[in-house]
Amino acid sequence: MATTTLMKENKASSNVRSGVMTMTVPDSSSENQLKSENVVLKTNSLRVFYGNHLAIKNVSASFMENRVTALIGPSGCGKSTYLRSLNRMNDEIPGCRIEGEILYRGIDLNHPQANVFDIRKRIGMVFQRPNPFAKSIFENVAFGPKHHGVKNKQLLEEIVEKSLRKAALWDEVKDRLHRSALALSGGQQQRLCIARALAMEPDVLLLDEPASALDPVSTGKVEELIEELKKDYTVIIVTHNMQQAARISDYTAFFYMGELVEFGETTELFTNPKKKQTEDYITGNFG
Amino acid sequence: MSDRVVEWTKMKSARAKSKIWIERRGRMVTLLCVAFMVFVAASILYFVTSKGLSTFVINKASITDFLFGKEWDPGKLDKEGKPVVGALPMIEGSFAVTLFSALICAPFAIGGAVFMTEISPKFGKRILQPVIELLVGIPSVVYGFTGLSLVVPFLRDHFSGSGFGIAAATIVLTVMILPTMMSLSVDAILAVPASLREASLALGATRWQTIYKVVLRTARPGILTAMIFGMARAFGEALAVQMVIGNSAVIPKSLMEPASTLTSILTMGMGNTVMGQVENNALWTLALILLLMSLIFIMIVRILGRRRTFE
Amino acid sequence: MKAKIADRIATVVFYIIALLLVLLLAGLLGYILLKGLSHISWHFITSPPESFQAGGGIGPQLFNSLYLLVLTMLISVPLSLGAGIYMAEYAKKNIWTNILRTVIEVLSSLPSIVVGLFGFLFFVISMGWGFSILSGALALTLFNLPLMVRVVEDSIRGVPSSQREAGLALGVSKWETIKHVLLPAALPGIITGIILASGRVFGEAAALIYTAGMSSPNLDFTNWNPFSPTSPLNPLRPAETLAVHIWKVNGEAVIPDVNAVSSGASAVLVLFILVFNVSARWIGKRIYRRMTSS
Repeated sequence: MATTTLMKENKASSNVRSGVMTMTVPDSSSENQLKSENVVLKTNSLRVFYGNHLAIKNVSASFMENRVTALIGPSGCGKSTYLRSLNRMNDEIPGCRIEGEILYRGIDLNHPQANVFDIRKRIGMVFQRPNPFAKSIFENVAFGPKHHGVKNKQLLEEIVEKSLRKAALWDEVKDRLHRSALALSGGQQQRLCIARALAMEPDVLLLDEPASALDPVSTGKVEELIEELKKDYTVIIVTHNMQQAARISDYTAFFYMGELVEFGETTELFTNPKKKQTEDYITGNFG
Repeated sequence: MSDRVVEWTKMKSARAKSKIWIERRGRMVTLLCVAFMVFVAASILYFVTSKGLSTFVINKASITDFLFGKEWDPGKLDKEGKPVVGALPMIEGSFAVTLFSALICAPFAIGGAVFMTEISPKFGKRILQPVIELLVGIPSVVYGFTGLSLVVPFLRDHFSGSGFGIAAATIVLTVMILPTMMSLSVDAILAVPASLREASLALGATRWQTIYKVVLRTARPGILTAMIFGMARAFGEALAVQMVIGNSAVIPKSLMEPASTLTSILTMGMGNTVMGQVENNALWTLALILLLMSLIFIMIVRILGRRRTFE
Repeated sequence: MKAKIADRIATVVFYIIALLLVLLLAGLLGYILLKGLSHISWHFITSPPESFQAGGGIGPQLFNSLYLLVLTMLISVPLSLGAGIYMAEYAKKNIWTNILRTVIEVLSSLPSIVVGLFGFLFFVISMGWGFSILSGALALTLFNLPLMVRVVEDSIRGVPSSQREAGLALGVSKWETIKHVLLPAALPGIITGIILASGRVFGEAAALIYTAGMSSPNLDFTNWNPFSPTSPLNPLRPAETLAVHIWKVNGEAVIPDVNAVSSGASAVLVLFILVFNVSARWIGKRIYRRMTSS
């Protein structure tokens, strides 16, 4: 029984803009689980405007549960813009307008009454350059839960340890949890940012070129991490590194000039691209 | 996966609603702080203006007499029954000290700024920067007292007169506005893109030629702004000037004779007059002129700033 | 050839100017401190001034300066934090914000004597508080606000926007991000700014002559009840500060040792300001270091 109830504008309540979403998630044992591939996130004809400039042109794509989907394409093709729309981070850019539907388990996130704070709890994001807070490692990871009501110290410690373990960082930092996060190396900082996002126990993880600012060794560690993470989360990763996409993703979406040119299973897309543009990009005919 | 989400969900949803409230409240509080500042500025403008205009409205003084008359004796009435409020000596005094000090200070300020940015940035940063900051920090009364105990006797001994006057005030003000002018000039020069310097040097120009023809010319609007800021500071300086200028509300015949500025007469007079009477109102009109001049200075800076985008 | 000579002459001239500037500061500071330090003694710092005779001190004035500083900061720091946060994070790029900036600019360019006279008109007379600590603190707040707002705004703007994104991406509201991420990160700059502003406030006189007044009643330093008239903490009493005192004794020139008193008081003032300046840098650096390592 999958019950999704979206409490929007309740005429009885006077909270005009409190589109609070409460949801129960379908159990994997429920008989509603028809396909082995569940669509967690889906966009329908998504259009993103910067002022009058249309940056994302009618992109419709579906992202499967517990799979890694890579968004690839040349610089400036809009893959990061698209990614940021999924957790409504583009709201922070003045003049940015989004039209179309962003369906998260059936609920439209682009609805005017959707609660953007709720959205970002379920859809977490890790950025290109590691951006830990100028606080201790513990404070960084505990930040999300703390500001969502978790006050119990022991619970916080458990959450921090669990998240750092999942991000494959626990062993390296367990003895210096209260030292500044800025003293960590670049690769460690990025894994810290991943742990920080994981502490929120999101459903979907958006990764915006998470390894592009890292050295090869750290990149390898992050890629291993992503392989592990997909067991529990749905991962959507933007990358300009095609080999990386081929290595770690199950599905790949190729973007070009704001449009979704091709979407398919990674092995298919890389060996048998259906569109000429895709083939040109993959074979390196243009940057 | 599901039970975890359900657990969190219950806690999170209530919090999500309250987040909207937290956001709204935070925004409101900061907006109130800003609104308060606007209110304060508006009240100052209103109060000073209404008090300042009362000299003309209530006491029936004439504006032209005020701006151009040479005799300042607000308690007296002239043949037409209007108060004798000729503020020209003060207006001239203010402008004189401002212009003179700006002119003398400018070469040093710009020279120091060029030194800090072009000739020796390391020495500039480590030594001249703290020098500027310390000079700026010295309170104006201390400048005034130093002027009184150093400059005035010096002028008295080496030139004619009592030592008080526009000359003394100019010297004191020159030192006072130096740090302001210098640090703003530094900003203006630093804003010149390095590529311009490199292009000039690559064409074979010497460092001085580059500074003179390229850097200073490009930074000119910014340097002019620096000078205007310095002048505004000099124009509005009260205590340091009042201590060395002699406070005589007449147009001096030389730089060594006691003179006065708007600020000096204002400072001296306010304590000796009674609220509501014409002597007091006349002082408020002086304050109004000061207020208007600072607005004019801001406008000049704005206009200069706009020109910068075209150059 | 001519160009090279000109270049060399110019370089020499610039070096001379730089040297003159350093000598100017050294001379000025040296003069003030040397002249004044000899007059500073424990007696000088703690006893009240004399009206007609020599031997007066600056005790109450020093206390008044410090008390006014603390009060002014207590009022202006929260206000400027709020306004600075608004300007840095919430104000949109429209005509209202432009007007707002102009208003702050106008406020900051007002000569301090005008601010003092407004305080005189409004606090002392209209509100009826008379020459008092309250009037003085409020006038100083008006004087201090524009600078503080700029300090707060610049410090917050200096925090990289990636920090904001990181906070927002965790589902935390913008206000909470400001309060728990941006403000702590901007703290070194803000604290440095507060200390430097304190220096300015401590030395300010023109705004206080007609608000806090030019006299100080007999203070009973054992009485800490703010409501009692002889208590130093009473906010409705007149409170001549150190800077105002220097101006007054020189203006009246009644006491025979006016030079000694002024030199001593000036030296004390400048010493405090030196301490403010140096500690501002040092404290700012230490906070920054604590935040980014250990």
